Amino acid sequence: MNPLIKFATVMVIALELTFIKSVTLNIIIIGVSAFLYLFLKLNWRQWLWLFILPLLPGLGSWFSLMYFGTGDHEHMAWVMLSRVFAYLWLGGLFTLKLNDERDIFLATLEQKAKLSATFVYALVGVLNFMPAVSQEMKTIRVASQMRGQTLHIWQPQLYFKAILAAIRWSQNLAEGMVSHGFTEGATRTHLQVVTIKRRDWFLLVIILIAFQLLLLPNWY
Amino acid sequence: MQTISKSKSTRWALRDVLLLAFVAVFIGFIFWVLGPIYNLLSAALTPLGLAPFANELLIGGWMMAAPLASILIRQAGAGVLGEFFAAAVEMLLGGQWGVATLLSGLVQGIGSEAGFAVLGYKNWGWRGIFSSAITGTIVTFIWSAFRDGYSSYHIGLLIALFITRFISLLFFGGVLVVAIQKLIEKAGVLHRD
Repeated sequence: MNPLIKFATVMVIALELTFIKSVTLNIIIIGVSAFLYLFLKLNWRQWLWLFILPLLPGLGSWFSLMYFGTGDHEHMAWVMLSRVFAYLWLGGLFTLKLNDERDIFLATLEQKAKLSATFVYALVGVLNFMPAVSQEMKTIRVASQMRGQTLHIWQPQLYFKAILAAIRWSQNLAEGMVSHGFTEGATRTHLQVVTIKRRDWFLLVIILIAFQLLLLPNWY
Repeated sequence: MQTISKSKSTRWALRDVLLLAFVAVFIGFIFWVLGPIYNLLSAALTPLGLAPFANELLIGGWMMAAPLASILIRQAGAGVLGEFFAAAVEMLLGGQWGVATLLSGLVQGIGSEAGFAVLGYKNWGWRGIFSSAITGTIVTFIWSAFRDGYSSYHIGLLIALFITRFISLLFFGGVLVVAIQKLIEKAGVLHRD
């Protein structure tokens, strides 16, 4: 399935889940996702990630709703616990495979969703800078420690220095891109043309219709 | 020195987009480092039923990308885009909220941007910044009412959560951003043509 189509499907369902207060429905989402994961061949680390990560925010909401909720708060507590899992398991269908599919996802955004090339390539450029960002933050903190100052999260100097780096790098990258032939607003040709199969559109429609039908019994 | 394009056209210049993206990533990274602290705090508060306060205390930090992008680029849409970029990068790197990050990022961006919009995109100083902190609190709180089940909380807790979030945004999205802006102005690293 094309990652952008997958993304659209997941986003629509996630948005609807935000407004649906149903434990049953959340569990159905988790169950369907779990079923699909069986085909995605996850490694044990990813399974662990799926189970552990939602526990903290889920239990956090559960306890506070149990203690401080009003009205039908016990139901809501279970809704929140299952919802956090549903969000992550549903989202994982897209994000866990993203490392392999990132290039085609961005290419689809540009070619099919007609997102401006400026934004797509800015995103690509910035993503490739991530290791450098991590290194730069270390450098900033160490450099100030050498002068006997520790930069904390609540000090403007820390952000100021980060912004200085952002200014410098964005300028360098812009120059680099232009010098490699990137022209703003120009029509681009593509070496790899992305096509979205008719089957993908069909799946999108079927899944979304099936989800709406699930809503009919009024679970909430 | 960076020159920010001052054109009123809706087309985004490459260098502006890149600046916005880098600022978003740096802010995102600084608060990603905070992740373990947030988890510890939230784990400690969970048995007391007070875990949402961990979120409320730090939300201002996660939302800093929006007002910073606005005051740097000074263009309508900068706040939404900045916050959306931060969320997109977090998602593409495999952040713990998956696609829900994008939805929240969008809501937070709109909330923060609304503060500059109600002043007609004319005030980029402390008035605009504090106004964005206020609208940011209100908009994201309405979102939380649905997404985090806040609508089922006791009114006392709701008020406490709202105040905590407001203080967090006033500090990170208000006081801190104003201080950063002062440093930037003093250093003269931005030039508007």
